[in-house]
Amino acid sequence: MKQKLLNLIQILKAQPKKAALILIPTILLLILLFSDSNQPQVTASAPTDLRPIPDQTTLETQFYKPLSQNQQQQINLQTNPHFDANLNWPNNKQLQVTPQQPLEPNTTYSISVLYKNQTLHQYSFTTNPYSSKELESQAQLQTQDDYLFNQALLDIHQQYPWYQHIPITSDTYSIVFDFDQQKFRIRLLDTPTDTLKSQALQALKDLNIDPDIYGYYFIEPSSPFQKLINQ
Amino acid sequence: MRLRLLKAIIFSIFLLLITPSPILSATQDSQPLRPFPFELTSEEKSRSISDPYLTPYCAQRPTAVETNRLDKRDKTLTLTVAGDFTSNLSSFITPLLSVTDPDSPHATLSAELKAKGYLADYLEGRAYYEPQAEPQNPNFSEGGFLSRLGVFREVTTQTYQSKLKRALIKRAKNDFSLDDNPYGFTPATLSVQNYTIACWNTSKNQVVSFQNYDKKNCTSGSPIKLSHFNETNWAPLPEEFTTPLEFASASAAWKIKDGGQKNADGKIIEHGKWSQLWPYVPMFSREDTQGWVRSLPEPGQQNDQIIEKPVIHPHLARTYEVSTAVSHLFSSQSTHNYNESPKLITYWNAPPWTRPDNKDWWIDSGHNESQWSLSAGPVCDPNNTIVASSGDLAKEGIIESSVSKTVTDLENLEYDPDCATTIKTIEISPGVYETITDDFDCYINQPVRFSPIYLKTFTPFLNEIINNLVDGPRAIFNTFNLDKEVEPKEGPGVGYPDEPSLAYSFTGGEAEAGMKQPGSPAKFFYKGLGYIQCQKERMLATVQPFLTGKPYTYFSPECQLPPPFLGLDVPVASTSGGLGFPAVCTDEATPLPFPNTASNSVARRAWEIVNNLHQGFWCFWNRSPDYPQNFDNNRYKKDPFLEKIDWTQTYVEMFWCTYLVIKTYQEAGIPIATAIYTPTMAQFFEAEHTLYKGPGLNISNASPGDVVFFQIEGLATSGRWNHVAIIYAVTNEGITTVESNASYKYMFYPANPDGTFQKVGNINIVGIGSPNP
Repeated sequence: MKQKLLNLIQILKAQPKKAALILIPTILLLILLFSDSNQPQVTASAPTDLRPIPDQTTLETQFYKPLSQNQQQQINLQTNPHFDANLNWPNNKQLQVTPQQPLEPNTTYSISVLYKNQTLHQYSFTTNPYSSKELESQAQLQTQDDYLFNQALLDIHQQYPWYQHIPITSDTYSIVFDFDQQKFRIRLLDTPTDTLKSQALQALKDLNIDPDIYGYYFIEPSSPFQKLINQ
Repeated sequence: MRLRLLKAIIFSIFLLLITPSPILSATQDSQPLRPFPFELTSEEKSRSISDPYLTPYCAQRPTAVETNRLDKRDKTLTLTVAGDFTSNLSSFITPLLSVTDPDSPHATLSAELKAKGYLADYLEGRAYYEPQAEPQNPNFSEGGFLSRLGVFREVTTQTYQSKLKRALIKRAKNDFSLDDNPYGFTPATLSVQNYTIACWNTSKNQVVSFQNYDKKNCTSGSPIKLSHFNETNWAPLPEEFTTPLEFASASAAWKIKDGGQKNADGKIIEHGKWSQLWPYVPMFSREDTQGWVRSLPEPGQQNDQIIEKPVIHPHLARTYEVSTAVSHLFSSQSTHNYNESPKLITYWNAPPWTRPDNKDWWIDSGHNESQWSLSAGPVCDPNNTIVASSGDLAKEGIIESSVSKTVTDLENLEYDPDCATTIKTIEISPGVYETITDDFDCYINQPVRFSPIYLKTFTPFLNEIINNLVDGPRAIFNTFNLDKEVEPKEGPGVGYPDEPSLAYSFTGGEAEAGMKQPGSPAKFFYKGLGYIQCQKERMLATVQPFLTGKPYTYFSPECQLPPPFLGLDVPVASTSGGLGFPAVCTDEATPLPFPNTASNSVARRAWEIVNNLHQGFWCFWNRSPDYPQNFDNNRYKKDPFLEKIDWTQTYVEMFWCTYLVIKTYQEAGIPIATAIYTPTMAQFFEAEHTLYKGPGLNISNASPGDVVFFQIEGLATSGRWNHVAIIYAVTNEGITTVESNASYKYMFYPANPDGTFQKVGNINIVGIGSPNP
């Protein structure tokens, strides 16, 4: 057999035109015989591997053209690591794959979409480091902590009802509230003059804040503090 | 000898110990708000008129009048007024009080007016205790509001209420220390009397009738005193437990302690003894307070003695404590609307206030002076006879002053040396005649009046009340400054013709409080508190809408000031949570007040998401139209404040603070785990990115797009990190964050000169997570 094949190659090499006349129709015939014009094509799949996904995510595959019932039956899935899943066709262009159990956390899964046991499409994703159950627990704790944080936030705004207006900034000064000193810190960004200081204080008064109630101090451009923060 | 002396001393001590302390007289009108009328605590008794906490104000100048017979033929005159002047303080009433006095004219008011009076009293001093349970749907207009609990209970958290109750229990047991003071201010007294707060019937497992608030009337149960509470039976506090769940468990156990029951499902079907009694524990003092009235002599009196008379004021200590606490709760409404501070001290030291025609007149707030404008004086509620309520008397007293003033060598303006006289011969006895000179027309019966004394009151706590409510940075009433300042005027008053007289008498002649109708008893009110009356109305106007859902109608339209400055978020109360949530959330996505100029893609996207956030559960900004799947809209529609479930144990989807990080990082292609819980997210940053933390943490670690981690100080959260936000901007002064699931969309956190972050309220910045190595 091997010898016959070698002889055929020798003949084709010796007569290239004849070989072409034989090979081209043969290849065309083979394509005609073995090609499947109805082979499904995948246009998209989800999730992508860009972001970790929850362990109970449903996987989706989108096809270019609607798949017949017969074709749908030929579609299968290969997963690595393996997990059992239910396949569902919400419409004849979309395949949904729902894992029967939550996926393993912090695991990279590779998915191959097979058609007649041939790979049509491959994708992968990584699961979140935390299981859904863990996330549920995290959510409950975070809800409580956000709630408590807001209590602290409301306390601040009750005590300092003008705080949403802080900082006050202009080209020549900026004003923040120094919680340590319980005073307004007014940084002068220009040559310190009484006029500039008055303007800064007026900015507070414009917000109905009496700077004398809390007190204030100025930081002039040449102050050590200024130098420090300019470093 | 020494032994005998020692025995005598021991016996004396024994006598002291067995001698019962003064108890409430059955004739005294005790009531829950004033269980020990006229009884002072030892702290109060030990105070003196020289104590600096006393506020002097409200001078009164009653006038003594004596008719002098003047001779026109004398070139100079000598005028004398002498006698004993008696000032009866029995009508000395504080106007802060209740409508509970059946003798009060307020007793016949309509239910609505009573309710408003009650509300005023709650604000002032009754925000802690009522014997009735609060109805679920009080009908304000029909008086259902009468049995409502106080505003203080409406606006403060249960946790804080429990802390205050514990403090009062400790005060009753002389176990209170300012080192462990939950009030936020120094209470009126460290100790209070050991009140009987309720009667308890063990067999019925319920609080039973406690009608006259006298322990003798605890007929079908045992009196429960404050001292019966201790650490084994008072309400647990969240801070005593490491997790909210542990606290919830302890609370459930406490609720059924001593007689409570659960059903098969674990639901509490009957509360135990201490849980049922807990609402009856007051949060604030109910002590009477001691003040003084001092009579000061007019210069030139021969008898120029200064007399000081102690008087007992009901409610002032309570008012001080409650109003200070309320001012703390409402301070957001205090400083931003009207920044002009009233000069109340000058009001108090100003004896007569000014009429519109610039004539002086005497203090008498019992008089309905509806024609006076607001600028006429501190009593800006002309109808205070309706609103001011009142009923509880201060302890009466009499001040007697010897009055003697003689003025000599006065020029006789009627001098007439040639005063017309006639010679008359009259028969003085049968057949006996005498010639006399009839000079009747040469004499004048001249009433001579002067103000021999003036009364100055020294009243405790008023200065503090005003400082805390009106004049300080947390001043709630500062919102409601008077339109005009009234200049103080010194000098003797001339009275006002229609003004009723105070209860003065003068044995040498007659007494006047100006030109009055003598003998008509009157009650005078403190002008400083009259001022508060108007503030009170404005406060009611502020709080009533969310308590009742109805706008407040001013008794005195002149008390009404322009609408408050808009643009500041004013936390208000919810009907349930008491955390300061608005009762109704806005449906608008309130935009961020600064433009999105961030160059960092995460910061820019975070701005977009936050800018578009809507209010969701508890009115926090936790509903993102960009991520509708991350919000449980169905539950929100039914239960926006999560009152129908135990949300600490039930998963409710919302746009948590961590979601802002997750979404922005994912969309920027930066690896991020779906770590909803802040500590877990911090772990992820530490493992996969960069996490700055610890003492070296400073502003140089921060960049726009980084994640800032917060920790709330003083919470029972085991020191865990509680909250995250995205850093939007970093300047030399601090960082600006944008946040989700917060009550404010953005916040500025200042840095110190050394770059470390300042603690803002109870919030500490404890970490910065950066995707950059």
